[in-house]
Amino acid sequence: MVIVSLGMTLIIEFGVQAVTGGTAVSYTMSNGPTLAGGGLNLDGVEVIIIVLSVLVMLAVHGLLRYTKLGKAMRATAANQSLARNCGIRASRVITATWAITGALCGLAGVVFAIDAGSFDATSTDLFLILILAAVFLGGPGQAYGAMLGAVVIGLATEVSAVFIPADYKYVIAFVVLLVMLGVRPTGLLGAPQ
Amino acid sequence: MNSYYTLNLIIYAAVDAMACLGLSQQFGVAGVTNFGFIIFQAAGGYAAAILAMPGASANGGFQSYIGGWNLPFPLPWIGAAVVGGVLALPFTFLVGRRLRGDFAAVGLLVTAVLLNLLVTNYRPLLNGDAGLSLIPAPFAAQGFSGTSSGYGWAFAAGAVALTAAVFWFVRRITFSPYGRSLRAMRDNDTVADSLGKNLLSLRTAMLVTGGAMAGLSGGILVSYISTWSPAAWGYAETVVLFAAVIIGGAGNHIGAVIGAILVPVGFEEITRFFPTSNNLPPNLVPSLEWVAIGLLIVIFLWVRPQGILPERKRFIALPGSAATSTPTAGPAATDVASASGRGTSAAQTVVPETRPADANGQARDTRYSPRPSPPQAQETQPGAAEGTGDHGQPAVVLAARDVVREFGGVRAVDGVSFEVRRGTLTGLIGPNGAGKSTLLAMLAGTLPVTSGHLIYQGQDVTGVPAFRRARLGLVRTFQLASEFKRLTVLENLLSAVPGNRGDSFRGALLGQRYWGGDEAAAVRRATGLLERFGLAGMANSYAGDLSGGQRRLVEIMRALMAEPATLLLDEPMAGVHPRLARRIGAELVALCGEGMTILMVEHELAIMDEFCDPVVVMAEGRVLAEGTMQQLRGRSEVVEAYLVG
Repeated sequence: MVIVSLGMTLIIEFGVQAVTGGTAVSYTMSNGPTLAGGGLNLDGVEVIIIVLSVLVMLAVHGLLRYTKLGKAMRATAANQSLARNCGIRASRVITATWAITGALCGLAGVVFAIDAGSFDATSTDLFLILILAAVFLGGPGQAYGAMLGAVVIGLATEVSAVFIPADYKYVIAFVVLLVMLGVRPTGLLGAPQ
Repeated sequence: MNSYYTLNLIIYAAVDAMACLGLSQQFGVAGVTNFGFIIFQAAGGYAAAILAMPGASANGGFQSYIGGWNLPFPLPWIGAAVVGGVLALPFTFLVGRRLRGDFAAVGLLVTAVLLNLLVTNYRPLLNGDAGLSLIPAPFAAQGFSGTSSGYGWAFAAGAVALTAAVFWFVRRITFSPYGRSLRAMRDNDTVADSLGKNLLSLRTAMLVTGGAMAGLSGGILVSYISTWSPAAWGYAETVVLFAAVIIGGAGNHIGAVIGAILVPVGFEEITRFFPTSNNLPPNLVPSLEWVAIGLLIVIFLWVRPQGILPERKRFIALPGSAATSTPTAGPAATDVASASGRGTSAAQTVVPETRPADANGQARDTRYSPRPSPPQAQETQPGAAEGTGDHGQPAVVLAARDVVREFGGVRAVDGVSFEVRRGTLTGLIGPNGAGKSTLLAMLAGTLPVTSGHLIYQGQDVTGVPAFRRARLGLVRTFQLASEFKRLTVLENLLSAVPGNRGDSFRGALLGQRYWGGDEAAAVRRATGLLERFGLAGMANSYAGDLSGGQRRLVEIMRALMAEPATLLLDEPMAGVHPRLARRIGAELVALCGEGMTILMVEHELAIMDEFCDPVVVMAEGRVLAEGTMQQLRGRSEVVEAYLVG
């Protein structure tokens, strides 16, 4: 599965690059008014990003917790054939999951591009690994684990940039993951073996 | 096509084939998904570079790097292989018992990216992003020039010869009993562990040898192209090698070579035949290459996951009529077979003499000769002492003391204490969720206990890993089908044989002449078992293709091949035809009569009635009662908990 995903990544990433010719597209918005408070300086775009991500987290929580589809997803994840025998259309649930995941990733991509100001087909190359790291840090299959993992990885990369050259900020994120794999192999919120 | 071009092709093909062989061995044979494979090649490349290069101040000091020992050929290449192998050692913690396969894969992938980032950004180490250049070719100091045709051909011949050596090496490993253990681990590592395979040692061996192959290939490559930089070993390069292995056929060595020629080499070369036009976007062709590699992976995994050349099935001819004429048909087969083994298995054949008085006057105890209990256990066996003081009751072989197992707050097993006596066929019954399988898993070491102690043959085995317990003669089967799917039925049986001389890295390298005798003896024993259970006709079918009942039989036979002194069976008769179930029951009773001890979980009370004595009843994680079925039927709490509820 991981291999297939990496294969698809190659297809899409370089497919886009082949079409666009690898030129960077700039994507700038007016940054809006700047908010300052508590030692933070946030411009409008950054505020929007933060609000968006909180909304998305709440939405995912609501989806998994309170909707029928969310319940079906969790049942399918736990035991696909059993879920199917209980009358859940597992294949449709999986398709829906892919669609939702795709939409979330698309949103993340837009946010990334707005924040970065410009992007090309390969600019999120390293991002894939970072996201994998975040998910495995939290424990795969654990929505809250992924959120926690993302926060830890994000903070680790950015905060460490204060102390060490920014070139190494991703190194810190990966070291965090490797240490965690050694100490707690199933992830921060993963079920212990 | 000029000769320079041909040389290029040959050398690239040799380098890629060598790397693909290493990866195929790890991924296709041993089931270790090493997404960081490229870093071993990279490490080999850098090692060869800094060993061969003069100090960093040479050439005006335009590059900075550590090392620069200016060593003569072939030391850089040897160094490359050594560094590739040694670099693998820290990764063994990722692939050990604790980490599931996908976690290990992500860990390795992340490490590959991490190391690439480090080397790219930290210039003093290996000249950073720009990479190393002007790496001397072999014998450059002697004035041989990389441009002369004769030199080029010699280089190519050397590279091909080394690749051939690697090919010979991986073949020798894979087609030995040791290779069978690797493939068993690939198919189901928990089961391999329970049969006495040391997963950590197997995986370490594969990581280190694969790393050495990758390192050597990197060393050869940099000596030829004379440059090496982080851009040459991005994590995506590992995906290319995976594509090659998957397309060629994982686990098939010729397939790996074909894959290497088709994918990395083929994709480099095919672009030469594209028309060059200035109208095309600049990155079009390289981008399309990546797209094609991605497409190939997805299409192959979808349409032909086994690759162009699938893993070959190992046909092993049964000894045929010879097997039936020798007395291997009876349960005594174990004696005969182990007696025919030589050298290392001699210890097994002297069991009757070494067995101490713990048999407690029961002559039948010495007839069956499982592996001897370890001597230290026999000398200080409290079980034996108990046994003798206990009015002639047979000695306790296996005991649980206040054993508890929690799963996130749920107490699946809640303070169980009980004993299993030598030579008994002890039954374990209870409603679903009573904790029977969990208890069995803890006894065998598949699950750790939360608290409590396990005593096996007088030895506290609470902290002993599963594979070591199996080597002490404590072998289990599983409730769910657990055959090694891509091993034949016969190979499944052979995989469990302890003490095969070819079942070690060194033994495998020494070749068939070294382990052939042990193997033949094991095949004879397996044939005897197959005939007894009526599966001789399926000996060379893949175990994954059998019916559910047949798979249960394979599992029982495989457990018997492990020469257990104590056998833990988890619902061995589930899904087996009642008549066959009777036969299995009778066989088990016969084995107990010969001194084997069996603990069996089973739901079918008729089976319990007929074969098991005593029977232990569990409910809600506790032992409720123990006795013969007759006695148990008279006890109201048992009837309530199990027979009714």
